[in-house]
Amino acid sequence: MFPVVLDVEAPTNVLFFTLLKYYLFIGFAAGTVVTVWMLYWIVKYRERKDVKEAPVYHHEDETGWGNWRTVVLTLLLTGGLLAFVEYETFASTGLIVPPATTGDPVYINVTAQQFYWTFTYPNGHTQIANLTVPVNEIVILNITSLDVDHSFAIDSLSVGKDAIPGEHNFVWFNATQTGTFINDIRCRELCGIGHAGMLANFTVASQTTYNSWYASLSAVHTTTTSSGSVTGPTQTVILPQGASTGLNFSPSSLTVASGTTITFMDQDTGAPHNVWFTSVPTGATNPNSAAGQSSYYTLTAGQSVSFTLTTPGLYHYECQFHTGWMQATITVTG
Amino acid sequence: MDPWLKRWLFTTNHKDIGILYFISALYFGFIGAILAVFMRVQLAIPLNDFLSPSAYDQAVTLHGLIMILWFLSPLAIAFMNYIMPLQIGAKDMAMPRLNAFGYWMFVFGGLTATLGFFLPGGNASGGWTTYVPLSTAYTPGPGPTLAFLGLIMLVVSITMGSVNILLTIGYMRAPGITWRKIPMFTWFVLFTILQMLFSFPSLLAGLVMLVSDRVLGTVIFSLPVSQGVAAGGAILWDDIFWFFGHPEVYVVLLPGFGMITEILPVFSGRPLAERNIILAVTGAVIVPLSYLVWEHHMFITGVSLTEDEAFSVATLLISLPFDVIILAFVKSLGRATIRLTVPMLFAIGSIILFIIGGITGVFLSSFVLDVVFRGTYFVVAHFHYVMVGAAIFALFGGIYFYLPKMTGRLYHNGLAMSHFILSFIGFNVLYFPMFFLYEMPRRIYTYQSIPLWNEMNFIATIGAYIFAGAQILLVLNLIYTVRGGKISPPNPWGATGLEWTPHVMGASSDHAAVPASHGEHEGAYGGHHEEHYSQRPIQLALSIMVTFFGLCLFTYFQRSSLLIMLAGAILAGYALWGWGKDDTENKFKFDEGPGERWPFTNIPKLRLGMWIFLSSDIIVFGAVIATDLYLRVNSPVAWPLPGSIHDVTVGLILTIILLTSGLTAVLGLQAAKQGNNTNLIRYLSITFALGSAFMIIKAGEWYGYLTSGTFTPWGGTLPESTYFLTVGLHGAHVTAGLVIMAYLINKARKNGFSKTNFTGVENFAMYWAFVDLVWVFVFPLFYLI
Repeated sequence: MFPVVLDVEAPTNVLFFTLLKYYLFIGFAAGTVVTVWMLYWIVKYRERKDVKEAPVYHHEDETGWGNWRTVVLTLLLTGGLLAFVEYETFASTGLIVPPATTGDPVYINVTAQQFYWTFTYPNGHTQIANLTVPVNEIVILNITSLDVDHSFAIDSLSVGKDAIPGEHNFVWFNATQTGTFINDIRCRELCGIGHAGMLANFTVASQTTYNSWYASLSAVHTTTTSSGSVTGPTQTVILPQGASTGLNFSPSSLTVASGTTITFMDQDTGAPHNVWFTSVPTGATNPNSAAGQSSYYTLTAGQSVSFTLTTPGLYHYECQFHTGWMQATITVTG
Repeated sequence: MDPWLKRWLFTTNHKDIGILYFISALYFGFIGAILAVFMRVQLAIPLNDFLSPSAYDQAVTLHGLIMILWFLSPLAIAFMNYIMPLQIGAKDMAMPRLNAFGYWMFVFGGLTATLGFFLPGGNASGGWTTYVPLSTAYTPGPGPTLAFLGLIMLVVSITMGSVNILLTIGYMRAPGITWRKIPMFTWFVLFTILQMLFSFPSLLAGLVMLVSDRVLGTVIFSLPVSQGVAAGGAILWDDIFWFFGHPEVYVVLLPGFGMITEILPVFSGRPLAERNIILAVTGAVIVPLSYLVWEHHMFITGVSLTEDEAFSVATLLISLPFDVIILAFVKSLGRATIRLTVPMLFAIGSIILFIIGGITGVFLSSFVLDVVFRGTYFVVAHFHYVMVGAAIFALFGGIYFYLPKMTGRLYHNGLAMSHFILSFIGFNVLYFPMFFLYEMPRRIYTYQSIPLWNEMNFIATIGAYIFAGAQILLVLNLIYTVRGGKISPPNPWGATGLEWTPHVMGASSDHAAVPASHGEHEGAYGGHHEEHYSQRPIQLALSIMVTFFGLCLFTYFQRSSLLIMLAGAILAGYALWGWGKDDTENKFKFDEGPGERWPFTNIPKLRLGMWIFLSSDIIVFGAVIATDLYLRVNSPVAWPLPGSIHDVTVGLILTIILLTSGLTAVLGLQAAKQGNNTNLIRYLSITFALGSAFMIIKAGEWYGYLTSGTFTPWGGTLPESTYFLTVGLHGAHVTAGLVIMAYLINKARKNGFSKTNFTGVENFAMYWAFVDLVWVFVFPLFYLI
């Protein structure tokens, strides 16, 4: 029924098409058996003009419960088939959950907007309309949207996930064949009049090509400071080396006077971080929106970001990439 | 007024309303089909420019909404109105005027939704699933708002219809029609209604909040990402919508199955196999489980894997009863004498198409396969096989099956046969190629030339022409049957159902289960006599349409909007006043006669109706309050501390006033039960005064917020939005209670209540207790914590 061919022999493809074959085979067989059985009986028991005999009724049909033994039997049979395919589905969750690896995966942020995809690399480089990844390496995409619901899909790898404003979803894959796949990335959720054109190319480059390409990118400095020169008191918070593996902001609680400018220094080379305020006192503007920062912006080692806090009260902030342990507070006194 | 026109506009007779539903559903189906053909023409070849992207999005959105809500369900409701009461020997629906009101709300709702095409900016274009924030902040304009308001009218219609049909099945059965003897179609109607009743309120709550976002500026679903990461309005809407959306699939499908269970035994000359097992699995498994599988529409929204697995298993479980039903259908063809008439062919066609649609549905229950199939034409093909293939083919079978009953004439067999053959071929040519387009996203208005896509899309478009063209044969046949069809014998198929007995066609009854006298009452209860006409239902529905038209313009032309809404409100007031007047004069009080009422023998009809209505209203408030809690827990900003905005003292005073009024309402009921009219009027008046005081203090509080400007409905924060929406919805319920009380007091002054007749007061007391109860949740939520 389906042209079941693997576009690329990637692990995600293998998982998907293997699973699909089970469903196709069992579904096709079950559907055919029932349909042919029904058609056969329709032909066999059709009204014949030449036969005048009244149809033969069988008493057990008239009790209303029929032959319940056959019902139990069919339930067991179809239940068994369904349990089998469901078991295979449960065994294929590797399509969704990335494998435990020894090496460092390549993290790329995918941001959906009406009507294009932006790909942000760990060094801050962003590009639109083309996702470039190295071959034979595990890539993990962090997908979100800045406006409406979108859905991200790479056809040739059988992977995809919704891009939803305010949510962060993950997709993993390991591309095993180099090449450029035109319009391989599509949006699969109606997102407005440009939905049909929300496409991107997918490029898989060899390790060496990718590395030299990546090295040649001029890192875009994502450091943000609040406008105006710093006049009031200052304070520094460190994102220490090892923050990606369990260390918190240092200091993790801080009391400053109103008007203090706090600079967050990223010293961690392990992974990108950011500083994201999750709650602010009543009446205060969220420093992140005041600075025009988009969610999941990134800081890498050596970069810093500064905020001036004026409204007194308790501020909670976190690193959005490591919410499990990187959570801290600042108290501003009046 | 022309008597013919008068009959069709003011009728409350269930058969007339059934025919109105039938014709209107086909009319909306025609609109939906034209939109579908437009889309297929656009997609026939790559990079076509027949439709603009905006026109395509509007077509795709309204095609979905109209086909599901204004064609499929109403076509089933037509049979529920016309055939179901005849099957159980009911003289009419339990509440004929409410039935008429439901019909007019459905029609005017549909017109309201389609009117959006003609407003500047066009109609809704965010898909029938109305995902947010695309359907709130990102598709501005009056047209989409109007479409959503039309949807609200439809939901009201469905709720009224659900209450009415449940009461009809519970109270209106003829003597002898015990639960054991209820026919199959009526059982399936009951199952359908049980799903409608609790799924549509979720949609209603969602739509009220959606429209509030669009018109009043609340931000429940539309908080921009820049203001807070974790607001989560998008996922919230998904849950609210699909809690309605998945049961709706079975709402559409089950009446079709009910129709198959009526058609199969008649034309296979043998009883339905495993009748009771079909009923048991539908009632005990499909109905409850349909509420627990909605998350499979959200497999890849990023919910946890455990959730995916749980809902995937639930979805598989719900496929088992369908498996049992289909095999029972097949077994009903064994050891039979099969007559391949047109109704039978449609029934068989429906089963075959359901097998394909059902099995591909199992594919989609796999959350791993869904990663690839989600949002593609594979899904489109699957649900069209279920909703068009299974449901529509079965209901078309029902049309041909019952056409001799409804018109007294026989259809043209050749035309009907061609209709089936062309429909079946056209349908498969249209939808089967879409399974191969499993990488083509849904709802894209065009595509670049891609080898497989080009051919499959072209074939599908050819199929669309055949399938749509075949439907012209149905229309021709309907006209032919009414105008020149051969006179049909009372029971042309040799069917055994009660609905086929001759009395229903005008002669007297000869059915064993129905006493001879029963036939004479036919038409005496909400019949064709002029005194059973009511112009109130159409007036009330029209007034709501006018008001909603005004409301959709509110953001753009405030003065004219307010004027139009005022006109609508005046018309509504007039209609309600008339409705109350008819009641006070006992104009629509009829002797229901003897009948089967177990298990409701000792429960007044209206009391049960109120219970059913309130149970659906609980879901509305449940959804709203759950939304409040969800947004609060996920709020990106600190929630205002208790007492910082809402004065706790004022809240306490409001609570005391409302709870006291609950007590006086109960005292009023006691007085009514004792037949003490003076005390009844006294206590109702105190309740009215307390209710008014509540609303006046509430208004003062709101006026304070509006004038101070620090906390306004237009402020655009979550604390403001949730407060105004929830408290406003509660206030609307209090206001409705005040209107009912005004009517009750007036009726009591005219000695309208007695020791034996106090259901009006009783229903009000229940309603008022419910309003109090809601406040008991709302008060702490906004004032205390």
